[in-house]
Amino acid sequence: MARAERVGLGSLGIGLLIVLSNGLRPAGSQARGREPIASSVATQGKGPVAGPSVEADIAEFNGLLGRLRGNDESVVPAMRELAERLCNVHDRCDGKDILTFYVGMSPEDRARGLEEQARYDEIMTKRPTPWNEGQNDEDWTILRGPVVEQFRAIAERSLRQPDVFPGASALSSCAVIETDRLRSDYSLDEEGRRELLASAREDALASLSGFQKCGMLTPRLQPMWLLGYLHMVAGESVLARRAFRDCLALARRLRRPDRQEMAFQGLIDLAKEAGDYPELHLLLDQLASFRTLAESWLLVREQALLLENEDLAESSSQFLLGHRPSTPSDLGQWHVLLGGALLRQGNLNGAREQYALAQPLPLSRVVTLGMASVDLRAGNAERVLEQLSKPEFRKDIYPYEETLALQLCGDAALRLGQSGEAIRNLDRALRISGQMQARLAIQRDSIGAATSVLGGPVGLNTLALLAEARGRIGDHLEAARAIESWQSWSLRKANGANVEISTENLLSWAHSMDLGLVTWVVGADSTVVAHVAPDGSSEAVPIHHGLRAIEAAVRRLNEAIRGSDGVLAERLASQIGAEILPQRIAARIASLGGSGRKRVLFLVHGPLERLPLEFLCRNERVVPLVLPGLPDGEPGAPVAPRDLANWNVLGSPVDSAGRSLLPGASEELVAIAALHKTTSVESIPSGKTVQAGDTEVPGVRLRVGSAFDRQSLAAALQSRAPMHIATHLRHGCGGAEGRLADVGLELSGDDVFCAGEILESRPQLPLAVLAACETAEGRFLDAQGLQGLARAFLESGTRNLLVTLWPVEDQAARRFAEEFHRALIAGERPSEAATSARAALRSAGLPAADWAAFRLIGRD
Amino acid sequence: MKAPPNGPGFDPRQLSIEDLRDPGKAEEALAHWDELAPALLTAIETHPQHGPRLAKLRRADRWLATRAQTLRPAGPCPSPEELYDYGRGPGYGPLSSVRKSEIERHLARCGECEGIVETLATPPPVPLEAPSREEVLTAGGERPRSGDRNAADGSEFGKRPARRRLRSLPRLVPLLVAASLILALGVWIALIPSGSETLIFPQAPLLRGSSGGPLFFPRDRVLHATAEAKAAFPALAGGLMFEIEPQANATMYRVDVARHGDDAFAAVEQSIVKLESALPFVKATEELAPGHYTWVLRVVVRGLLQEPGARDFEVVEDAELCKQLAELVSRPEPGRSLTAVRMLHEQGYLSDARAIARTMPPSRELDTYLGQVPGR
Repeated sequence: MARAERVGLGSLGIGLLIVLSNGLRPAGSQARGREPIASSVATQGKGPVAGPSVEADIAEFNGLLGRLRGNDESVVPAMRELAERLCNVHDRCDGKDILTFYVGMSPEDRARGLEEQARYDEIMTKRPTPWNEGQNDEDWTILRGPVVEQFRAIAERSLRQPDVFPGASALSSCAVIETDRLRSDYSLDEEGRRELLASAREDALASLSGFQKCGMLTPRLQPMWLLGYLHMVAGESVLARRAFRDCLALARRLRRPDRQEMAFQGLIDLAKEAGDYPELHLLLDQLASFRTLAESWLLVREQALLLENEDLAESSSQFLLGHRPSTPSDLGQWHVLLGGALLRQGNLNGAREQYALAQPLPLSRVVTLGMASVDLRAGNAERVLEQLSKPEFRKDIYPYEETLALQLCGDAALRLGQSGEAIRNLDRALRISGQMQARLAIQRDSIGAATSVLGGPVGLNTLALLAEARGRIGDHLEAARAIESWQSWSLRKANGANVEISTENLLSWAHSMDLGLVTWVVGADSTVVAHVAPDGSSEAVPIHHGLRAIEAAVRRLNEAIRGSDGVLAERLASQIGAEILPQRIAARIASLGGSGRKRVLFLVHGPLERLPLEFLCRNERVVPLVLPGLPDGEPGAPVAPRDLANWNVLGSPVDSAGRSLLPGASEELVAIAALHKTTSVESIPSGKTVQAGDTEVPGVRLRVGSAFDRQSLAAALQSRAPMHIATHLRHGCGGAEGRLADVGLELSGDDVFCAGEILESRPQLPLAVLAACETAEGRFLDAQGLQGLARAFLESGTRNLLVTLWPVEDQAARRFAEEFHRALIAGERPSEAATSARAALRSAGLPAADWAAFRLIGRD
Repeated sequence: MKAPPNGPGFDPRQLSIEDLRDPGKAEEALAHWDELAPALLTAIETHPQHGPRLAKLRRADRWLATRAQTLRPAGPCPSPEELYDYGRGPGYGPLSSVRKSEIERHLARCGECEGIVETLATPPPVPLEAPSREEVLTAGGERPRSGDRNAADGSEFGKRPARRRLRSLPRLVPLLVAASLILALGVWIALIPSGSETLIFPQAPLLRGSSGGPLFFPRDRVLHATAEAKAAFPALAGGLMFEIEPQANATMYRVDVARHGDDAFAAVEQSIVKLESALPFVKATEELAPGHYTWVLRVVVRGLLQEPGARDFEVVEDAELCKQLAELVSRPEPGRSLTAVRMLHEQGYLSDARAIARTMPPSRELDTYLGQVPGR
């Protein structure tokens, strides 16, 4: 079994330790795990019910069931009555099934079942402490085998008899022990792990089947959760997610918040492993809806981790300091988390102190990594290499931990001037994360979930360091290739291509632009920009600003432009331009200029995707094209005039009462249709009063008002013709889950066409104009970029998109659209037409907020 | 389907804090303030715009309640004879001043007795054959009772006299005043015709969408007002109001304000202002010195700390603008404040414009202005 199969241990490698030590423990009371109907730990969801509580009824039912299993059939009428009440009043109908199961059994069979039950109970009563503590000491290593054998013996006998309950319980316990060993026994070889995993899965499935036969619900929770975990360990994330979801649904039905929390732990680990932070937010919010921070360390820990992973270290430390746990094991993790937050804030002494308090085992490797990070920051690079190279540290290291260690070693080597060593370490770290990403992405894509291993648990700093190291040895082109290869995978994977960019492809993209291409990687502490000229020459230059500083700079510039503070915007743009396009890069680009317009491709990643480069590039001779990453293959031939001959012009939705939702849009659409007319302009409805229209003339198919419906948009998306849409962007399209933002294009009749539906439609258009607000925006996934409407079009193969970075003023949008189409008709390329339209609005004295928002995403 | 306000299905308890941004819903909330959920009521109480309106409504309500107490049951009715004497009916007798006052207070609360007295206020029509006072006295041997008189006079005495309204004024005054107050409030809130020259507030541009949140105000520029400008507009003195887009399920909003250098990449310094509020707005207690600032918003949602974002603003000294504001001091209201709002708004001092606007009398136009969400 590959090492990657052990990946599901979550950040810091401690995620599941907690679950296993709490969740897999055969319950505080031995009865909990085998109660045919377990009473709820806390009532939730339903209001108080008159009469006996569900707990009281269940306790009484279980008591009577014990007597029935002891062949006291006089209790049956009372049990029937109780089962009815449980079903009718408390919505717990499993009692009826259990009763039917045991009533239908002969007294002899019941007696045999009870005998096996007694044997099972005896083992559980005498179960060794280590198991209970989730530890892995020598005693338990010796005892584990015999205990499993005894359980198997019970199962073998019991499952051949009518009363399968003891056997199912025994197998469930076997699966617990096997899973625990799988997690903690580092001496297992690949074959041994594979066999153990298969055995645990088989036991969990057989136990689940046994409980189903008995009609029992509560005991199923344990094997269901185990199956989820085992799928996760095997890298089967879709199956794992399904199992955890099933477990969650049953736990909710049974009103078992403890088991709900366990299911959430599984789902959280899956999201964390994939770097899907939007989903993590949702899961934590759901968990917090029924668990308080005081009763759930899981909630505290995961929220703090999420804040740290989002580089919000100050918030994380604030949060942790307000929620210090009391149990020693939780406290150890708390110290590790707080140490990480303090380290990120530059408080090295504080971080060192916290890591020291987190000792000793079982957090030693995590603590070692933390201490190495402190050493690195303190300038002790040699010590980092020494500590992390020790064989005892590297032995049986988890892949995620290995990537962290390799990153630290790479960083240390780079600081020591050992670029070759740095490249070896950093490249290996990226390869491991690439394997994790590839394994997860294949599965998560099928459910529309996000994966960003590099942006999430591993961190883009590895890539930034690698690019810097490559640059130092003069391998600038390879630096650029690495930057593009490891970011925005979804743009290439969606088309079934290899995720890595070949040098040939990179060069062909650079060659297709007059001024070449520019790409960036923004790491936590540093950034690298690389330029590849059309002739293949290249240069990679480090920028000494990390994620937080660049995010803040981009935000400040956006605020200044959107707030129409021209003076401030100019100053900020100048400062930002000088940093993100350092003199060496700017000079290279300038040297390629000449007469006429020159196109340059900006491959924007991380916070730079939101940077209004169009404001920075106001020289009309420089025509910017923007892409959030390189698509697969070569750029291909640009769109020809004939590709832009037949337009679908749609929008100006009306509500169910026929009222126009966007008054200026129909004017815009009619004007555009008129611009593209060939001979039959008279047939195009004109004027301000167009409420509905379905008009086709040579060159234009116009759908406005009530004619702008699902069918017309779907047809336009399939048409392979250029499309212009003027409508609202609707938030809250149909679900907060998934990779793409929960947005869509508003249609007439209160309908909406969601981003996910656009992706399913696979529009492969030469040019799509999305004249709505913020169509460039989306859910941000580090290393993957903004996931929204634009991404849905791009991944589908749409070649060019005109989008907006922020909400645009109605009349300015109309004016821009008309200028853009005029330029297109005049024969300009889409990127040139966008530049011309921006220049026209700028010349007309409109503020930057009205023209800098328009971005041409694509390749012409 | 959503129930219309005040319709059969309308439930003011379903209104949320987020609804306060909608002027229409905010009015509904104010109109039903005594039926609102405690959290929402608290939100309105501390709301910079709606808080004063609620206070006014409450004052009106308290006033009504106080007056209503005086309308409590009037106690045992005076005897008919006393009422007759009080009403100075023909042949009335003297009443002590103490008793007279007691009857006066009783009449203010007892419509029935007041009706009886009012019948005496207007002299009866002269009967065709009116008995002389003496005859009456002789015939009855005693003073006639009011009931007897009614019986004797037929229907004429039972009719409501013309002076009744004047006599009932003491009791109706509170009701009339209360009604007029409520009417006036209603007029303020809903009926002042739009388009009135004095109430044209600056308008936001029509955008195709909106994404100005969740950190609404302060933004862009904040005026560091001079003493003269503050004297003219006291709202410019004191700390800034931080206005936030309400976050679902948020129980706490935390604002940290820190200075930063004059550079795009400048790191923020240590927080100099830390504010907390259970509501999506919070006012700082102290003024900020001129300079560049970043405010970071943190929100507690179901106990979890989240950081929705940060926003910059600059505290600016603008002597010319302050001078212009100070010069407005002699102008009458509301034109004075409205002019200041316009001046500040047009020059990008949105937080200051809003601070002054919040001191203006309630109106639909003001609600619309203050309810404007920055679109970008």
